[in-house]
Amino acid sequence: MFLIKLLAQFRSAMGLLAGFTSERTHEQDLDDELQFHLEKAVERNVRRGMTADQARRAALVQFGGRVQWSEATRDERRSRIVDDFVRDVRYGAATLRRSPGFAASAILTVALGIVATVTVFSFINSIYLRPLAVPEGRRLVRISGGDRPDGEQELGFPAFRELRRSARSFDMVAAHYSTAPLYMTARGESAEARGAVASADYFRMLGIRPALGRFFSVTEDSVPDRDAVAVIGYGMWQRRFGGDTRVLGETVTINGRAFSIIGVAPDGFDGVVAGFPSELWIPAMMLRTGYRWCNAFEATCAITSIIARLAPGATLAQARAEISAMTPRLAALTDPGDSLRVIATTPATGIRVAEQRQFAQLSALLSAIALVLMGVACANLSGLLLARGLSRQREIALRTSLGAGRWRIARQLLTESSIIAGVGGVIGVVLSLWTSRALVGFFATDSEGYLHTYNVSLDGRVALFAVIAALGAVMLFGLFPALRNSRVDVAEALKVGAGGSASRGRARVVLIAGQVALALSLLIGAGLLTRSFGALMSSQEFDPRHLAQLRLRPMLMGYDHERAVPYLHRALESIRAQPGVIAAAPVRGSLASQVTGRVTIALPGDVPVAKENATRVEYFDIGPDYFATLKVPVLAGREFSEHDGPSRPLVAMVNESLAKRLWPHGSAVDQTVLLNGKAFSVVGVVKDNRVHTMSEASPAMAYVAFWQNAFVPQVDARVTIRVAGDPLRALRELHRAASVADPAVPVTELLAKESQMRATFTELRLGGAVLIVGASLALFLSAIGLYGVVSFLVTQRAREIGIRLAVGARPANVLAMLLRQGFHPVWIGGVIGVVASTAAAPLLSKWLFGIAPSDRLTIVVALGAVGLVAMLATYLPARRAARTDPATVFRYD
Amino acid sequence: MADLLQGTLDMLVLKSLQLEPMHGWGITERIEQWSNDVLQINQGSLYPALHRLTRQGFITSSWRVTENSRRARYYALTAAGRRALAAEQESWERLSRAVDVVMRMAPS
Repeated sequence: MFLIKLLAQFRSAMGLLAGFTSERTHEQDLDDELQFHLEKAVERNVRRGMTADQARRAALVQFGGRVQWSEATRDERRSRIVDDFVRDVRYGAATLRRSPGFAASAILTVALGIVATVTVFSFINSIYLRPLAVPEGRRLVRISGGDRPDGEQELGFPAFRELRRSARSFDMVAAHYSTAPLYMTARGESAEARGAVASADYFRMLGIRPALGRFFSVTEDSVPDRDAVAVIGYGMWQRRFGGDTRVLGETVTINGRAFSIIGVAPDGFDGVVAGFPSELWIPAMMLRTGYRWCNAFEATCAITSIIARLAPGATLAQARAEISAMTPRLAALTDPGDSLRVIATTPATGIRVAEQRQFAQLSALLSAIALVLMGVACANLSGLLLARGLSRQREIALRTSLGAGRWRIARQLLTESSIIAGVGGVIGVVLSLWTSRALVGFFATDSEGYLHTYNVSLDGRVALFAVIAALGAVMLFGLFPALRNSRVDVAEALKVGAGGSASRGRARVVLIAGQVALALSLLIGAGLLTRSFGALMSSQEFDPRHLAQLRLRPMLMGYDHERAVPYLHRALESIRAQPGVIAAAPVRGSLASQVTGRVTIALPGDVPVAKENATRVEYFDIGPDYFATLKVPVLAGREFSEHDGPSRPLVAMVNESLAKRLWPHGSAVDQTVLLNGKAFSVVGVVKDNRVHTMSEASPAMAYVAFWQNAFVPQVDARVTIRVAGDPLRALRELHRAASVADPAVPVTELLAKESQMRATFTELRLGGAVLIVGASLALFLSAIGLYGVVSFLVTQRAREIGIRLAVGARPANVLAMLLRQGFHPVWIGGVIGVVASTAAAPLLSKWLFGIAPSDRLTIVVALGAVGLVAMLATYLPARRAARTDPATVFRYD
Repeated sequence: MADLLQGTLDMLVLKSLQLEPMHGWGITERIEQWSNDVLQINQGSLYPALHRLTRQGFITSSWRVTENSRRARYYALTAAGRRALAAEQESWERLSRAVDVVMRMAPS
């Protein structure tokens, strides 16, 4: 006996090994075997004189109940905890393979939710969380003035020197100015480079090695304006130098000065300001070549940012404590005008803090849309699984009768959901690589034509988020159906021709109502943004279609006012002489923003007030015929002409708003106004216009004549140009024409006005586009869900419908009844959706111009669209039912 | 039917397979038939027992087609099964004789 048992145990061990490999067949065999047994029992009961129904019920009674024998049988095979999971996965995969249609739609639905959430998270990760892609990037921090509501205030060069000298929490401290306009001429070709000015420690601190040559030495960064050396980016090296290694030692001209190239940065490194890629670096001591508006070595010209690496062992908290202790000393070294009280030490993650704040509302909106899509996808899938539970009731009943506990069944169903979520998640993540690039692609060009790249490649945080999102999805869509579907009334379920239970139908109605509500609120949001964009575009007081613009930058080449004026005149003449050019006018300040600056404003009779308390108004320096070029009407008087030169009396124009404010009862023309204390004679009133900004109301504006140099002597100019044809096509020729005046002077920011406006409205366009796509998907999913519910309703009530038709109900009556019931969730969802969209309206507030968040028309149109889609989704299955031939319905029994 | 003694079901199953391979249902019927319906085999015990015996190497199973052209799993004794059956039979006889003797004792 002993020997036999030993032998048996050995075999059992072998069986265990074999068992792993043949699990699936075992599972199926077991089911088959039990099915066979059940049928044999039924046959015997029938032989003993029972009806088929009684026989089956009796056999089941014999089967079910206290003996959990199927599970017990499995327990005999091997320990369950380990392989229940493996078995569930295999069984689930097999089940899904058997219904590929269901599997595909379920997986795609999850993928949709995942792609939405992961894309938005990728975006947020890039904007807020991602450290710089350098070794130990997590230990880099930014140091800046931190008590400005509008963002960071840079500390300036003297404070940087003090930090570098005495701060102990940092390994190295570097100063950089990463938006330096560097205009480089190399190998006979001139172009603006995305430049950066960086102190000697910059590269060492980042811990990167040059691809070629070397980085700046400390001696090259010790004497101002002496060492003209440059490091170029890998991309520029490939693009402009063809990857030529002889580039080392080559002389290039940067902003009019000869520089020697000493190194090439490694591939993939593009500076320390996410979103603003750098491709050309010069030492901090060459700051005055990179920036000419003020002396950047002085505290009053604080343009350099400070980045530092925490010393080994030092924590962020320690660094903050030290900086906080140093604050009075550092603040004393900054511009007194900044009255700096707080210095912030923040991890160098994401883009610049000031821009992070600008992205806050967009991030919130995108997150909300992603969550709504995830919610709709999960609700849809939940409904799908509930419906599927119905068709699987027999299978589940059989397993239950064979002794599987409810939790066991629920776990099996949840495993299936997890497989769906897993596969959908992987697909979603792969798709998100593309969609997140498309998302940041909206920000690729800003309103001044500069490039921005945001890194949205897959990293650990995004991967972790995707896993959490997938698990969350399983909980959202899988848990309820698993619990619901695992509860089966065995005897009912195994009866032939049994319908579904009413409570499952109710659950699906609730899910559909939720989807309709979410889809509707997205649709309303999409409508609001679309209408807002339309209102903005149609209410422009000027004609942007044939406008081009460019920037003449003699200051970069060291021109002063006296040299710049003849140059600007030559350049403008050359541009105007270009065929196809109708008009061209110079302006000072950005064409992408509304104003040049603010000046105090007063009338001659006013009581003088202290400068701090003076009323201020926004103003703009504009050249002759500026409004004619833009086609903005001049309402009274005239606009500036070539005669309004430096030796003539100062003249000004005002817009309607300012004219009404200053002279509510009389004409503004020929009045005198004091701007910054200087007397100007008002020569004209121009219609309020929003040429450079998107805002609802135009602020009060004053205009002064460009050539009169009323507040500062002109050097650089932006030029707005009206052309006959397509401004995009004209840009190249305009560039050439402008360069004729002086080939050395950089001509930059060449843009068509419409492109620039599009860039100004990027957030609005992006929000609108994402909302439209999201709303369409949500609506589509809701429609599918609704279709499913009505189809289910129809099947469930096939017999009742048959009877109604048989006793003489008209098909139209039946159709109406079904439509009424199918529309039930749509009404509920519609009401919830309108309420929800009103509650969520603040998310959109930033982009709503000339339209209220509760705009009736938008809501009515959105409701109409949802109603139409719902009508279609209900009508199709209902019509089928109404056409039923009563005879077929009863044939089952 | 009262619960069978531990291990008795295994023995009965082995016994029922002594003549020819059979499927689970057949085993149930065979035992019921031999015992004149006194012993009713509960499915909840039978299939676990069959797997237990398979695992111990006393029986093997294979899928075959029944006389009615249905697929069913047939169980057959192995050599080890036959030896085990012989050993069980012997110990059962000893046990049942002993029980019998005890039960026949008239209380004095």
